[in-house]
Amino acid sequence: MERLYPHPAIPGLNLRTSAVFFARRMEQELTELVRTEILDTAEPLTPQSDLFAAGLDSMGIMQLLLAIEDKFGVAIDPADLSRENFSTGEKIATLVAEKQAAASR
Amino acid sequence: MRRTSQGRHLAATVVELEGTPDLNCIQRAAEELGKEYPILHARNERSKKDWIARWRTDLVSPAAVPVKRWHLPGLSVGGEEIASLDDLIGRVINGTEIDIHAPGPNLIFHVIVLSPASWALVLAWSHSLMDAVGMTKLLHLLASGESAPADPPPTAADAMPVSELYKQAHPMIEEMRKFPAWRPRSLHRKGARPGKSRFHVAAFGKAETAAIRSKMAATAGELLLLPYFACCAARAVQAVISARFPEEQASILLTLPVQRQSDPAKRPLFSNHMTPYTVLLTPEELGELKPATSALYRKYADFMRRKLPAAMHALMRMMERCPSCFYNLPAFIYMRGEICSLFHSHTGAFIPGVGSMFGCRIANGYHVPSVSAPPGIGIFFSEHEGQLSMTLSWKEGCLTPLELELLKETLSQDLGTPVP
Repeated sequence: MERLYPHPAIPGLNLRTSAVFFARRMEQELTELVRTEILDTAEPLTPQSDLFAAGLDSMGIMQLLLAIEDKFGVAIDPADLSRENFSTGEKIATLVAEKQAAASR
Repeated sequence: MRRTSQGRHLAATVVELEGTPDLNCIQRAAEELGKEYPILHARNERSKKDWIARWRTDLVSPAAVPVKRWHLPGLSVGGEEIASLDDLIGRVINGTEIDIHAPGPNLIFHVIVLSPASWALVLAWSHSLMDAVGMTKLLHLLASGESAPADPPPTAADAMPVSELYKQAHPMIEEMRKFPAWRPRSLHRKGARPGKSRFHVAAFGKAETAAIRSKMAATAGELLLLPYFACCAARAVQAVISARFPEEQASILLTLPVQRQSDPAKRPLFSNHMTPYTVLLTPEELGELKPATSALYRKYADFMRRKLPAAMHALMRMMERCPSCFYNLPAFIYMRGEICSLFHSHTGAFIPGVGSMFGCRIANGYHVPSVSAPPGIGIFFSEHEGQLSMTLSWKEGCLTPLELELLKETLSQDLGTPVP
């Protein structure tokens, strides 16, 4: 029986191994995208790093939304953003995954 | 920044502090800064070889940044008496002490004692020397007491052939060809010679700022400052234009700053860090704040996708080769005397991560840039420790007292709180 893992950010949601793998990969990709293309910094970032503290500002957020749309095919309405759901690579990945799931229904 | 006399325009950055100023500390910082950065006393001169203007740091002897002392009436401290902080700011932005084309300082510190327990540091600077990003970096240096390596001067290799620049700039040239059809207007009155630079700083308290943020979150989300505040500014100017020309439906041509280099560590101190991003908002798009914000965001996305920032940067570099009169006149004719409808920026946190300077707690901070006419008006925002500051900057003659009240009333409605 495949083991299920709890989703790191959505309580009560359990994921299959493959879904966890893809979620982790998206977190890493998003964090690296922020680090290299938005912040353009050599400072190391993890999926749990506070991106606002790392320098992500209004202009950077706009650029990031465009990059997310290009890379993951998901258009996120700026009105859906909050400091709570956009502060780390992990949280952004969760938001993107939710949007992808909603689009596929 | 040299175009349309912007290069001669001055800005004041105001840091309001608690306590009393440590003049020895300020003087030491002024000496170190002046000696570390010869550009602070260099004049700007156009090369006869490639026509590009450069700072002649080779002709400068290092000197301290000048420090001038002031105090409000009734205070028995050193320095010259002046009626108010606003009076000092007005002197700075209308002053002639800073002239980038003549030898002399390009940055001046004004220390003004406001009360026995408060004072302000007013930095007078030329917008040809730096922009708000550079000023933020400079303020970080002053607050930390450290010095950073001087920026390397640009090399001759930066002078790309004009033919190559034209190829890169072409998409932006094509984009700008669409603007005249929309007949954008500004507050500049054609035929009238603009007067002195005027300003009004509105300092919102923490409760008012929270209310503004709350309305922003409900209207356009809580994170994107730029489209929301830009639309508030655009709608305010549109209201004045519509009152002036009731038979017209005015479009607003916004010039917004786009960051050229994201990593703060890579941004040189004395340089233009921004490329202008020019966007047109139609009367229909400006009808209500929420759709206006969405429209501005979509146009920004389109601007970025078509790689227009690089094209705009190439266009600016092309124009650097010519005296401003070579392209200003054709531009004015083409755009019927307009450059844009207003200048706007929201610079975010004022000195992020810094709470004190020269041993004193920072109570508030904001920028007061002067603007050229056209457009004759600029609306600028920044925030410090949960307090929003808004600077209205205009040229005398471009805004009547009644129109100023209309501007403030429209801003009050959109921000959701009265403009102090």
